[in-house]
Amino acid sequence: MIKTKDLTKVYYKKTCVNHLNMDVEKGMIYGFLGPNGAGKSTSLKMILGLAKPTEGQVFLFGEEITHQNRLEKLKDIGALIESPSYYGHLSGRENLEIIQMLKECDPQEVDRVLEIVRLEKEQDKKVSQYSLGMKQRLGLAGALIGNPKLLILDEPTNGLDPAGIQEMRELIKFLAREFKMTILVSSHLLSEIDQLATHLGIIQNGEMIYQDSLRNLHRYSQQRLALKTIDLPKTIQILEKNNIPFEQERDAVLMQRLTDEAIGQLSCMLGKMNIGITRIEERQKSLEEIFLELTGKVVSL
Amino acid sequence: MQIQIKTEWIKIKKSPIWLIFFLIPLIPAVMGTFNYLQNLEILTDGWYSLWSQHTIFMGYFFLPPMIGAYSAYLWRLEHFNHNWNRIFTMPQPPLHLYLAKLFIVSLMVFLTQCWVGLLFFISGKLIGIIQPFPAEMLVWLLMATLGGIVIASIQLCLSMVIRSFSIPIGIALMGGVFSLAFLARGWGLIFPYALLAMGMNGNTPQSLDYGNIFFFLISCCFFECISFIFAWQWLKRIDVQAE
Repeated sequence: MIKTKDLTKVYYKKTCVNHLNMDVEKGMIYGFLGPNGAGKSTSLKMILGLAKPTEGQVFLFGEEITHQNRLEKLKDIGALIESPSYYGHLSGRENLEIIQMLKECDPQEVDRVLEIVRLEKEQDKKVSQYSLGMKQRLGLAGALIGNPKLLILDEPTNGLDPAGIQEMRELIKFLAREFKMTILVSSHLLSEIDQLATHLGIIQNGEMIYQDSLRNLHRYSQQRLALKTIDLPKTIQILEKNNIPFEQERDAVLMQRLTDEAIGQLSCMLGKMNIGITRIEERQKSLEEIFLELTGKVVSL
Repeated sequence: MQIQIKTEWIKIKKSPIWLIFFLIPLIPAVMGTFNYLQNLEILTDGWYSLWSQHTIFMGYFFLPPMIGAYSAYLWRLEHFNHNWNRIFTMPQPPLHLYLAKLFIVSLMVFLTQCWVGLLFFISGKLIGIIQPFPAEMLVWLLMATLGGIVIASIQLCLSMVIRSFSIPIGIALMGGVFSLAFLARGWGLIFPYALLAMGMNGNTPQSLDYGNIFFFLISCCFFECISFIFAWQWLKRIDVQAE
């Protein structure tokens, strides 16, 4: 659905996006993750043709985007960039009618999308009187007009309260499930992408540092065993003698998961040496730690 | 294009810009009528004298910034709340947006001239001018509309590029003031902001020279074309930058 090849943007000699190769395939909810200022919005703007790439190409629906075919492709895309966008002095309905006219689709689309985002009751209110959550839902409704195959949402939950974030997340999942939309959603919050996306790409300083399915990422988060005893140096000696690989933490040792049998033997050995075990616990690596391992870079997300 | 004209109309229909539309022309109308009544011994030419008094303020000081305000308002709607992003991800050519806005502002300029003409007529009747209403004034209002459209096309370019609401209006005000100097030297045709006052024909209300009208129209077309080319090229190159 979306492919970028060496997409690069230089603003005033500063490289905002650096040879970005993004690959979003049909049916994905693709989480585009990166800290603020990493180049997410600029990348999305180049994909939509709002900003012109300094270098590289954008392919949408399998075709390279050119000046000639851009408007044609936009008919199949719903976008929400640096949201929310709206005309405050008009009602929610009028805002949607403007989009419906510009997208040249059926006027009934307005009712359909109002129902999806549950704004039917507030449709005749001026948008300037809407809450931020309502404005954001209206923005999403606008992107849904014409039932596009591809949805591009830039930080759709930015600034919302927890209930609003939850609601937006459910809506996005619903759209993917119910209308088989392919969705590209950006965020600076790892936890959010974790709960929403099927695939993710991580961008830092304009570079894509990781891109894969979320399932593959979780595979890295295998469990480890942490062991605490009353005498750490002696414990280490015993582990070394028995060739059990481990890492040392501040007051514990971390091992790969052992079989129950191996743990039993180990605890007996420690017991014989009068080393009391204070804790044996299973630990899972956080996604942050996995990134660090995969990329060798500290990502602040 | 038709679609954008419709959507622009939806945007402006309920806007506060109509307050400016109705209220501002009242000021020069009242001032002009008052001036006329104060100087009855010099101003002996009935409708024509009243016209000169009305248009002095209207053409130089009031209408150019008013047209500037119409244009600034229409672009401000896009500059605010990230609407640039949305409007340019719609499957419509960006240049059509400029042209639709030009159409709407031109329509408003025309309606403003109608309102100005009506105010003039009412003022004349109220103070009891008895001569028949001179029909040339309708031609002058029409020419002023054309001159106003030239200002609109330039102001729409300015407000498209400049995100500020007031700077372009300030430029329009300056344009109106400077047009006094250009007209005094007889250089009105080369200064776009002077075309409106020139069209209103307030300085020499009795001379309607058809040769001048021809050059007037040429000048209007010239400045229209310049604005059009600018808008076309600028919208082709524009980058909506990340904020």
